[in-house]
Amino acid sequence: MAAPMEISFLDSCLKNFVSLKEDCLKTGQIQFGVLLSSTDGKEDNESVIVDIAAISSGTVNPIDDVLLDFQGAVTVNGVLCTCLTQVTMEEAKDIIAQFQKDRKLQDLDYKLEDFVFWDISSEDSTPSKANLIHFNTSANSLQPCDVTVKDAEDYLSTLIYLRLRGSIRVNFTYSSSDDFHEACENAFGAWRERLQSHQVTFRLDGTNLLFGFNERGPTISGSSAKTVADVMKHAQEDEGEGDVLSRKKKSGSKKDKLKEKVIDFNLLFKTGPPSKDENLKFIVPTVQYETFDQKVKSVSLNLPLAIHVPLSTDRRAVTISGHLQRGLLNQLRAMEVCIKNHYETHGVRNVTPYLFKIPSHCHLVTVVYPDGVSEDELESFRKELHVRHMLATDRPYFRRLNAFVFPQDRRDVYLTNTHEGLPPSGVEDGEVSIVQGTYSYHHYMQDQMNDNHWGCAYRSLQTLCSWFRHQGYTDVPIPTHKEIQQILVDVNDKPANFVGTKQWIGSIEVSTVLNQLLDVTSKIMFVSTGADLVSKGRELAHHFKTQGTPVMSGGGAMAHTILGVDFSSKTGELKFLVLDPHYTGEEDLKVIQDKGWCAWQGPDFWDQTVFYNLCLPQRPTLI
Amino acid sequence: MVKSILAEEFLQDYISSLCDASRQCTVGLIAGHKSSQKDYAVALLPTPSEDDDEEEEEPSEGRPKKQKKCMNTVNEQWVAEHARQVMRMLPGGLSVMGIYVAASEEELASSQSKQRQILFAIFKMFQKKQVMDVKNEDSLDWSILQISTKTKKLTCKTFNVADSKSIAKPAEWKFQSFVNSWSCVSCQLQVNLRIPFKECFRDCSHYSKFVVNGVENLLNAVRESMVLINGQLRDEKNAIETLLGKKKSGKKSAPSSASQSLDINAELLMESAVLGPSQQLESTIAGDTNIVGWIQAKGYISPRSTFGDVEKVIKEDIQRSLQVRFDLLAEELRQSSGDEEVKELDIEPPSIIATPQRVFVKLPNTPILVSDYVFQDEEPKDVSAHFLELLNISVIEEEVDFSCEQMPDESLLQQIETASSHSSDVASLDELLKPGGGGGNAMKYAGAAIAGVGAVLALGMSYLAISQE
Repeated sequence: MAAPMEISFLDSCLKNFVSLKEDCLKTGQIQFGVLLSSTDGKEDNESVIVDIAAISSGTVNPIDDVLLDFQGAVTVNGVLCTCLTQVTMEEAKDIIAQFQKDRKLQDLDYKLEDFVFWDISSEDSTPSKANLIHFNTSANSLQPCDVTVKDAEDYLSTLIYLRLRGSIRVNFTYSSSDDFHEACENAFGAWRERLQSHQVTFRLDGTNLLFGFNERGPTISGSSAKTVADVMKHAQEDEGEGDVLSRKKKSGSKKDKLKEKVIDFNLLFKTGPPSKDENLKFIVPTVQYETFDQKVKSVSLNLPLAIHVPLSTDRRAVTISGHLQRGLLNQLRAMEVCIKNHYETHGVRNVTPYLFKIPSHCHLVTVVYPDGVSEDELESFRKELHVRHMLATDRPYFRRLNAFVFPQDRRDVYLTNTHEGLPPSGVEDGEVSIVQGTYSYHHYMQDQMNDNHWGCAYRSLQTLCSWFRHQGYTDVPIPTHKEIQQILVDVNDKPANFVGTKQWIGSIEVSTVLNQLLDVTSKIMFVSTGADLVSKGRELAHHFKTQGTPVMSGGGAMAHTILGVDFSSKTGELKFLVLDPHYTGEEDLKVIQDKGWCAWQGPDFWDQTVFYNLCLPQRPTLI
Repeated sequence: MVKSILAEEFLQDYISSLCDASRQCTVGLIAGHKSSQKDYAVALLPTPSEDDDEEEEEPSEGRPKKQKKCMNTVNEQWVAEHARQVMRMLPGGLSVMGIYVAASEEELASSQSKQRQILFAIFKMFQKKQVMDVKNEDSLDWSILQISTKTKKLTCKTFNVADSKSIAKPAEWKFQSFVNSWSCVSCQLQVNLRIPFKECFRDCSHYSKFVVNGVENLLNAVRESMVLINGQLRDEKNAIETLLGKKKSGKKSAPSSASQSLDINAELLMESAVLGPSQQLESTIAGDTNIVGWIQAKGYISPRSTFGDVEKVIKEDIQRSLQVRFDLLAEELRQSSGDEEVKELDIEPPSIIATPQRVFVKLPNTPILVSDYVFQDEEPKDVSAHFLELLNISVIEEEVDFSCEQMPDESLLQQIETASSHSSDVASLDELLKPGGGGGNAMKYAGAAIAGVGAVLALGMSYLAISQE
């Protein structure tokens, strides 16, 4: 028997293993996952499994969808078969034979010869040498695997994203719906050809740096940059050094390391001759005129590009053009598939790519959606995405509103997740349960609205609404005070003259508005005195674990937003992560955190004598 | 500050010849390069006489004209038309920058307002026919050079032509040798334009307007494009001298007299590979026009220029050249539709037609190439006559460079004609016109093409020489 096979994967893949195992136990059937490794051309990374995606059946075709989602950032390393027992040689061969039902492994665009079988009945519950067996189709033998687990954070910290924006116009004509697909294919085919020519040039945004191709291969001009890191320096110089420095100071060094870094490129086309050959003949512009016998449909797609290619900063700079080109071809492919898939039901649609950062993967996923087709209509498509990427099917991850925005591009007027970076609460043996996802901080005096002394519950409600927006549940804009009042009038909760007043609202009104505006139901937790709130630790912790929504608390004249709890079940000690809407200052995170506008608060924070109503919004089940 | 106008030394000879040979008055154009500080005159181009074409054909050297002309009989529209035609032939960086008048002192003095009228008539013509982009001009101070045939005295003044009330400013006319140190910027540009239309055209005249409008897209793209200079994007403020420095990095001793002329290669970088007007996502069309091919552009700059100047002159040439080509094509198409004999036949636009070919000739005593545009059926002698008439250059056929651009031959034309864009794409047309050793590379596409719709006009139809209106 040959030496054991080395298999190494990022620790972030462990949750993918768990997910496959759960499905395997649930269904009693083998679960397949495709093992993905990075395509950044770095040798150390070549064999490392960076992500795992589920494939619905043990065949080759579903892998295409996975690769399309990653748009060239990863390639197939092998296939993981999660089995209830240890496989025999025979069984392994059967499974692999079944795999080739759609296409032969030799016919694939990528190399697929490694199959890993994971026996989940093993005592060792995590993938290890004890329960992994490797089958290589060319060696035709089963071998045990040596397993190495690598730190995903280390891997991610070396990556930056090359981003290519711009648009390309795809024009074609067709005469009947029967020839739409073919015409579309031809047009995209022509574009693919063009994008593989030496015309294609990528410019580092705002600089004279160009990355292109000539007869001898990839080129770089305008700089002596050797590595991707050197190129990054160029990009930063352009941004203005002061800006970069100040931004770095604000975010802690560790956090900064984990944040996605991105450098921008523009797509340009050379218009000159392909080579310097002097014997070339150049034909003058010639005008061709053609009329069609029957009416012909002309399609002009203006496709916005959003290409993101992860690349390790120590890669050679000259490889950039090749990586961007690959990303471009992949995105075009995904667009073509999307246009063709939707033609029958929705006619010709322009399409837009969206980028998603999902908890199950360390790489970003790109999905192309047809413009003007509602989220409801795309639900079954999203469901497939959830399954493929091992995501819970009770909450949205792939709605357009969930799209990922790079930190440097965030243009929010409001601060988001102001609790990040706060020191620990100090509860001993406490378990922190806090809001899941993103919210915006809404407080007094924002939006040129003087609501000092009366608008705190309105602001807390706005923070609650922002959470539903950020998480993709709704695209309804954050309601203004007036709109909130109007809603309460419309449901006969308040008289018509309520609109425009400075009257307070309470938790019940907040839940009414959430229900009316967002179709979100809320639980109301009644607490007879502020002193009693300390007994609600377990209940609130449960809320943040299962629902994860921010909570509005109203008591006496005051409204607050509770973002989480730190609760020790041993001692019963409890602290509340409170976001205070009574803040009237500027959007300055330092002030907000230092002065306690967003802070951990002890039980004495609450007015011990008045009663409290807490509004706990319940996350709707949808994707 | 008195503006100086540097005139290339050899022009002295021409000026002397004016004074010696003829006592009549002569009006002509000054062509050269304008900048905010200085102007450079490189050519004096006599305006051909209006009334007698026959006389024009004959060599007129030293022979006094029949009629003794005076300034007051000069038709300023005629000179303006001459200026317009000359502009078509000048490369980027050069333009008509004024007029000269050679006459007796008295005549010069009495025709002051006429001279001014001519200058402003030229500018008006340029504005009307969009011969120059006024916004892009560094200086709109145009010159009038007065040559006294008796005393050989030269008087020069400038007018701001954009201001109809402007008064003469004195200028200094100096002879100097400079043009041999000028650098040439060359550029080859691929044209790839698709313009669908919703309804068929009533006749060629409508079609020609449509094509010319469509080319606007290309002109815009050129305006917005970036320029690669010797393969790189460069800072527009940097001097072109830095190109020299790099080449000679080994020998530091090279004198920095900035007199070395360079051959600079420019290439446009555009945001889109296929151009055309923005269209609706989906529309019903009656047909399609595709314009594909290559153009050759040239521009000239002085040694002290910057990369920004390089970009400017080459874009100027490309835009000017594209405009000329399609204006000529439009004239061609209109003439075919206006032709009395075929008018009743309800002329359809030709299914394929080539724009004229740009040919180059050296401006005597300079490294500068001036150009003309020639349709397929024009004779080389027509070309020579044109250069003589408009630019006062006598050339023999061999001196005309026909090789920078090629006309498509019959078989290529046929292939383009049948390479329908419907169901296939522009790329195949594009492919047909890929620069190659001959037309043979096109064959593989011929089979895939769908037969084109009725070609009415044969290519052998009569092309009329560009004539003054």
